[in-house]
Amino acid sequence: MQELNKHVNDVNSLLARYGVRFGIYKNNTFKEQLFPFDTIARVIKNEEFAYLDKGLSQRVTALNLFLADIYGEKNILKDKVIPEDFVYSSSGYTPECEGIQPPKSVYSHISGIDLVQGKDQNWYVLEDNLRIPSGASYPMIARSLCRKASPSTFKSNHIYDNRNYAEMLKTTMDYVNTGGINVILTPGRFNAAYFEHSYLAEQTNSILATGNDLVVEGDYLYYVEYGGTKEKVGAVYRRISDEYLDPMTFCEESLIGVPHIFDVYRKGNVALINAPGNGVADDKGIYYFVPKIIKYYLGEEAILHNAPTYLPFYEDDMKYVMENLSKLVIKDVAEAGGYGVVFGDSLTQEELEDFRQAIIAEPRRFIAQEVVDFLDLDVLDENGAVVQRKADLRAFVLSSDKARVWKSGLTRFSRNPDSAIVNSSQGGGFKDTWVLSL
Amino acid sequence: MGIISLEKADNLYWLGRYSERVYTTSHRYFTSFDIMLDQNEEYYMRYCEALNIPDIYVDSKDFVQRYAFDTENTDSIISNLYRAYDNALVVRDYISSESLAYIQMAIYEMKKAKANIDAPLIAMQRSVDNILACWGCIDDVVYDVVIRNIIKYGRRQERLDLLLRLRGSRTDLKRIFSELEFYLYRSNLKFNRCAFLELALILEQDIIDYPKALDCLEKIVVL
Amino acid sequence: MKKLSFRYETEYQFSLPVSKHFYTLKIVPETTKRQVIKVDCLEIAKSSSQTRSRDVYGNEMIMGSILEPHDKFSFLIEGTAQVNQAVFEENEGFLSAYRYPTELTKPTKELEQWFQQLLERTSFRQWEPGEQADYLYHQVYDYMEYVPGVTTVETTAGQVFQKGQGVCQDYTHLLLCLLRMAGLPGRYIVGMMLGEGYSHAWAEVNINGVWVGIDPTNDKYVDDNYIKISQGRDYKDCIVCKGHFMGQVVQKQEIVVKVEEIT
Repeated sequence: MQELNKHVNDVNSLLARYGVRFGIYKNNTFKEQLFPFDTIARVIKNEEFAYLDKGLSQRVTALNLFLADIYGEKNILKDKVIPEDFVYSSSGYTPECEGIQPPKSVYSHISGIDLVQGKDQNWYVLEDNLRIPSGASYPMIARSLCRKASPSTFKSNHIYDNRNYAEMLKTTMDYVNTGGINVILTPGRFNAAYFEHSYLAEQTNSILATGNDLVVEGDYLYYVEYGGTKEKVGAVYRRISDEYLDPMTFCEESLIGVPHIFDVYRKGNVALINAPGNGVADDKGIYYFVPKIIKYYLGEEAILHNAPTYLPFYEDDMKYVMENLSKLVIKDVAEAGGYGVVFGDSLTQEELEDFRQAIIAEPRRFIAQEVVDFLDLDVLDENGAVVQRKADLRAFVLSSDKARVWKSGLTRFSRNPDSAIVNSSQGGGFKDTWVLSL
Repeated sequence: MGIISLEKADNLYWLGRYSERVYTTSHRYFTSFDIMLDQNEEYYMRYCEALNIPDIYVDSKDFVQRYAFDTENTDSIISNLYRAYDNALVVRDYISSESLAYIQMAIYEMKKAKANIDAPLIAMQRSVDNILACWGCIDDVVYDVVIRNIIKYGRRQERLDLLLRLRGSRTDLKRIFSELEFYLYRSNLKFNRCAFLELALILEQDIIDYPKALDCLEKIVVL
Repeated sequence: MKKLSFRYETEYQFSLPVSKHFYTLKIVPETTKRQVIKVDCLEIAKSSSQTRSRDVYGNEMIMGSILEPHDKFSFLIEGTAQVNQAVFEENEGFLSAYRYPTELTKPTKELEQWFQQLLERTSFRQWEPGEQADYLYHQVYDYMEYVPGVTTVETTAGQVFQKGQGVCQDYTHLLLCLLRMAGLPGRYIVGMMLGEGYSHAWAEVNINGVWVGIDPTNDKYVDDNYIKISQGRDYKDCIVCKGHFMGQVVQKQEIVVKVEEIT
């Protein structure tokens, strides 16, 4: 690892060469910035990863079954394991998806599960991302560049190669493809994750398309060539949120979607990756119930733990939250990407009181969590000194005939010593994640 | 592969045109820079007139700086390079990350050249080298010949355009025109046959009607 | 029991030609226990492609596209309906969606307060669901004043309550909001009424497993003079003609709806 650290500048200049960027909007203008990379990898031992692997597969398998149930039979609601209020009043619940069975019954093809390791060495799941989790491309390209900058590091350590992500993704797309080409649908180059969209298209040998390149004719979706001929599309890895996917079904004003694509999907003539409507399962409110979901569908205890979570919806929890607000993290269930997360201890008395009122007014809108004492990771600062920073791990689970965990992941860290928010949109950096093969 | 939408075909075509524009105008810039050094300080005025770009420059120093490096100046070399990048970025899956990286590096070199304004040509030369490397890389890694041909067609069109503006000789014009014809038929682009034939005729006439030739050239491809 | 003939005709004029025009029409009334429909004529502007589908609420959809430039779009449906108000549709499919608020029918603080007041004035809680619904729709009718042009298709129940004015769509959203607060599943209906004019909107409430039609705008239960076209959670699920096209244009719409009794 030290050997690699000597080459931190080489790696970063290679990252610049390949334009590894993400975009952000500041004051309404779009800017692209390099995603700061730290060469000190997060290392996960073989047996420890075996545990994560089991836990993550179990979690994603159960969540897929949950989605099939919610948009189908609804047994989990009939059996009152989850109050139906939590499903039907969730902003992620999409009635348009009722009764639709996606190809091969896969809902969450690509799941990004955010974990942290506590000081007690335990891993905690912070969040499930079952809609369009991004980030896999970064450790993937960083790995190939690190191998160039410091080959000896990879000769002397036994690290699983993570560059197979493209192959895993392609397998996932092919598995559900209904006959036709694979397409990655991007909102366009002014999207925060455009680098990833175009890089994954190149690496999986898929076509990178915008809404304008696709057209629905009759019951099928086509990619239109410049000569006018049409190529049938069998799977769309869409990097556009449900809301903007089809102006004829969802947000009418959407200019980036494909009119009538949802109908082709409804008829089973194209696979949408991930399936629309998944938001109901990665809702911060449903998160609380995931251990119960696992027990219900698989008859097993959850292998991975949630961070201790309270739902103000329940009276006891409300009481606890009211009394302990100043030491909890409050999350707005409707927000994503590090927004709507507030640490109680950062609030003034007055702000705390305002928050209490907000929670009482809309208990369903918030969850409260104990602050997990993160295990800090070593990070090289601007001057090359090793400092400790908060970090999380986004693990990627790809589902086709079964759930498979990618032997790597995106480790994001906070560059601000006082912050536990690691999201790239909030200025964080990233590390490679090494899973040891021995 | 080999499935290209109208929008992507347009991007490939413009990638060809803008990268060619950067390449050719950089070389012209090198020549002008040399002439303005000790022969004719006002040479840039003729240059602007020939290329039909607005002469917004105060003096030769201003031209050296702003024609090459001013991102606010839409006619500058750097602006055209950014346009090449914008078009390349959205066709990464066709031309490969490797090829795209060379355009990216051309931009970095231009930034370095700007910082060394007394002798910008050294870093600018490296920028031009990267454009050549990008073309070479595309030739090497892009399996689909149609993709390559669309880019090459765009390059020939831009080259012919610049040569017509600079009142190039019939021999040079005809040579590039025949290359243009070669790639036009192999790019499967829809084109205006009348404009194409008219341009061919103009190039045969005793006195070449340059403005009319430019007009025809612009009308050939319908995207 | 009545036999009605109906005709629904719409024409859009665009100020400039539009292209890549996609449309979804929910214009075909469905045969149910309550109404037996016979379609005699269905005409839609010449299209590049067309197909049919059914949405999650059970509405038939005609979906198609016109890719070439055009400055007009029209459709027409004609037929007969044998309506029997004495029988009710039973609940088919899922009810849950009809029990929860939507963007357009979400209660505001003021609406919640009003609802509380309505409850306190009566022994609402002890009533049968049918009595509750009956009470609520009269309240909506009494509260509202029928004024066209003061609301739009985007106006929410909360805004309607603030204004106290509106048209059939607004009456219906307000009623749905109250019904759902009371725990009664309610759905939005688009349809036609005896006479000549525009389409109409009303509500259906699920009482003991059957759907009962209520027209809050006319302060009455739905009778043999009503033909249902589509149903959903609110207006947005029942849009008669949804379109998406390329072109910045002004569009003019003309609708002619005519329902007559056949004797």
